[in-house]
Amino acid sequence: MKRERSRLEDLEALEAFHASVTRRDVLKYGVGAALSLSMVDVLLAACSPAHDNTTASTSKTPTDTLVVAVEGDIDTFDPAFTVGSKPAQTTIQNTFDQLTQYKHADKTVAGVSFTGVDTESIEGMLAEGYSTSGNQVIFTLRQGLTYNDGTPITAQIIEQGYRRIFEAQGISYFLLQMAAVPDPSHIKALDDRRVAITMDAPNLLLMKNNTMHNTSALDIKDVKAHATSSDKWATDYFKKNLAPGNGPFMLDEYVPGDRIVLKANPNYYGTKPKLAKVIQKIVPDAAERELLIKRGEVDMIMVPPVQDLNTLKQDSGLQVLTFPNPRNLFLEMNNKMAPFDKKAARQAVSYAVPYDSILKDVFHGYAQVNRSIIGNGMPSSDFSTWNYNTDLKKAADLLASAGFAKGQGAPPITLTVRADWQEAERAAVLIQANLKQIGLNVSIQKVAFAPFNEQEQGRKLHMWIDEWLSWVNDPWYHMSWNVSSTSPTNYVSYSNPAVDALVSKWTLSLDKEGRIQGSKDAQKLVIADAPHAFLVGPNWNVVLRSNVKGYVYYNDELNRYAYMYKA
Amino acid sequence: MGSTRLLLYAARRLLFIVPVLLVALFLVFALTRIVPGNPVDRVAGPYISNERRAELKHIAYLDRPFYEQFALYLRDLSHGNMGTSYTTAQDVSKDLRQRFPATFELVTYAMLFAIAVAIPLGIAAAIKKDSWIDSVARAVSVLGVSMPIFWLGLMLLYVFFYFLDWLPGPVGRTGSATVFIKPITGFLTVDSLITGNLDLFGQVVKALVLPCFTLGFVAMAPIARMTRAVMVEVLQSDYIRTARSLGLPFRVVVLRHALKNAMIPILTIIAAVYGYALGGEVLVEIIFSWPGMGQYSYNALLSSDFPAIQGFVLLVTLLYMVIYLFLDIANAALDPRVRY
Repeated sequence: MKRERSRLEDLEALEAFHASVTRRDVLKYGVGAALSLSMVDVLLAACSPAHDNTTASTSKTPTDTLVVAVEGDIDTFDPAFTVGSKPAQTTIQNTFDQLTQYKHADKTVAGVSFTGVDTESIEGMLAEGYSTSGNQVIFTLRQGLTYNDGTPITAQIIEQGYRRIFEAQGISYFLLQMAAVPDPSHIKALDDRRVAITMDAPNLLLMKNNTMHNTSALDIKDVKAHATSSDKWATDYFKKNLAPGNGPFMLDEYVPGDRIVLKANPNYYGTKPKLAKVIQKIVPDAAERELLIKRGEVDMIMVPPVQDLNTLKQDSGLQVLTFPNPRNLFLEMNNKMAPFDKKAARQAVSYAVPYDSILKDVFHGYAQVNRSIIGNGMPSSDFSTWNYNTDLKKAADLLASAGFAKGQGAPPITLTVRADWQEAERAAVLIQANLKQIGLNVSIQKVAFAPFNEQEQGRKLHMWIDEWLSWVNDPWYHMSWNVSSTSPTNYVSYSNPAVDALVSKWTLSLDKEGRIQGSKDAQKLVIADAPHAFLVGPNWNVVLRSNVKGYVYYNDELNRYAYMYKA
Repeated sequence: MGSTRLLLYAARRLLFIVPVLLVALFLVFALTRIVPGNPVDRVAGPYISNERRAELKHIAYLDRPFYEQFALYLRDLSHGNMGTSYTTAQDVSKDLRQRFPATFELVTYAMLFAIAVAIPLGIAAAIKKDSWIDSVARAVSVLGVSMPIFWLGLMLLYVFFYFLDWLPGPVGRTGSATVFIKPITGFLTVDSLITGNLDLFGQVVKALVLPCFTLGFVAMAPIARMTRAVMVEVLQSDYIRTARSLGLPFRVVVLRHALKNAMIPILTIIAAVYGYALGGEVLVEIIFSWPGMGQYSYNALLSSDFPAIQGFVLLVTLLYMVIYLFLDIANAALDPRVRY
């Protein structure tokens, strides 16, 4: 293509454009804009305190509809596989029932009273009851159960559902294996209504592991309808398609990146939900979720910015619910990398951590003191042998005894935090300052979620902050994942044969007293070895509009909308 | 004859798109693999066996040298396979199809707003040079190019949603709606009208106001400045002076003679800004929780979701080139001096 003058004209015009915006213009209008916008800021700031404390607007959503701002999109709709997305897990939990569930219980933990669950007390859900005999548990299904497409739920379907979990190697495969149910031959339909699960060794974990949403059984008819020659269990299909469920809600609509809408299941066998619809809007930014609930645009948010919770509490239109739980916030130290391959160096770090500042200045009181691998609220939690109160003198002495007096000879340390986690970054800054005082030079590295996970799982991180909450409220379940030297999630590569022996001995034991004492013994060893520093136990926080009722705290921290309603 | 030449030219330009796409793809392919993190480790989690992890990497070609990975990606692409996203677990092409309408609707309305304001403002500023309206045009331009888009979006949200409560918050395309419709075209303003759902239409329009203004304001600056600069030059031309001395009405002189001749650079800048907006409205989508391609690509970047990042770059590059193709054709229609 030839152009005779047009290109030249374009250039001239562009030059004219650049020439027309002079430095004087930029300064003149820039300063003017900055001043005027600052005035807007000042005006808004002047007006905002009253606004912050008493939200003028009421809830804008219909009374039969709960609008929830959720943190992200789904990872998969396949119950057997979802591990990384709370909105996906919540959707599955509300659309599928399991064989059994925990009973509700009024609880008081760390001075906070709430309705939660008694994890030692299990009742029927799809099963009207169960009986245990030796190493076998027999579940008897309720009469007339159906999936929401009308297909009857029989014991044979439940058996096939479990078979799929094993064959496709979903996450619940590991949960069942941990409970001595190694393969699908251990799960049998005895007749149309009775399913038997046989353990290789009787244990207390099976019934707890089996309450998780990951054990939800899909209808084999749907699985077969979407199976392919290379994907016998239709795992690809169910990643993006929710199978017909049997829970109190049904999926009404899923718009990727925007919303997941649930509607009440009219044929639900249990107590009918009071809400007709639940709209889960995807709002990844915590500050925006906070604005939305303050203005009544949504009824419920989770994971609010911790530093704003005390302000939100003053708002008469809102309820701030905070749930102490056994979550561990760890300062992780790679036990295979210097200087943390020496116990004294790890202990030195444990003495140097400013625990009180992290509790008060980072979590503003919305966290509990945590002094052990087994946090407060989990059976057998024992803080009695922990003695790492912040003491920089002791820390320096221990560092010297490890051969790194005043940090000399210690390699530079990189403390890695996830870029999307403000609290971890703030805690890292406080830790960095204290470690500098004992001679350890720490640089803080922020990385995105994906590379963080990759490096953590590859045991490539040197020092980092992470958290762990066990969905099963059992000390040996928790320790199996975190301190057993063979655990795939023992990212610090901690290894103590005595601890391993205790894990082997007690994880599947039926001796309740022995398990408690064994757990205390193991905690003592872990505290002494200091593979991680136990920073705090952050609470689970939820903010609701004042007219929203019925929230029940479950250990998996997934919302159960069936109990919720609006006044 | 002219139309044949035009078709030949368009065909040549279409062919030219291929090497440009290859270069763009190569660059993004290389960059995604230099950055630490790989999607298989993220998706697989800690629980699977090393054998299964290796198998997954093999399926995704991640166990092969870089050049082989690139060649295999091109082979799949030539069969219409853009790969499967690790974040959404479905075909990238399907992901992009689902999210494109949200982005296209937002960018199109933002551009219409920007053009509707910027061109008249630029013309007025050129006619009334150094007057108050010229100052307004300069102020808009300086603010548009200097104000960070995320800051503008957040401030608008704070004022018009949180403080004044006139417009919905950052909850995506449907604002405060609690009743939805099945998409027909994917453009919610259109779909809500087709289905006669005026309540939803109102919510959708309200939800569009702030993101469109945010994006439109930034897009407005270069268009207004370009319009002003070119119109000032054109209005000083001999033929304009001649037209005016012949007694033609000023409106006719400006709109029919001056503006038409000034349109080529203005169209060029509009095309550039439109292309930029399609690929660069990521921040706007994040701020307003807008379920479009921008947010998709942002999540893909955070998750090291290679196929999704590559698919996004491929589509945006393609769109950019198609826009420029249309621009050149439009230039030809406007300017008889343009030959092929």
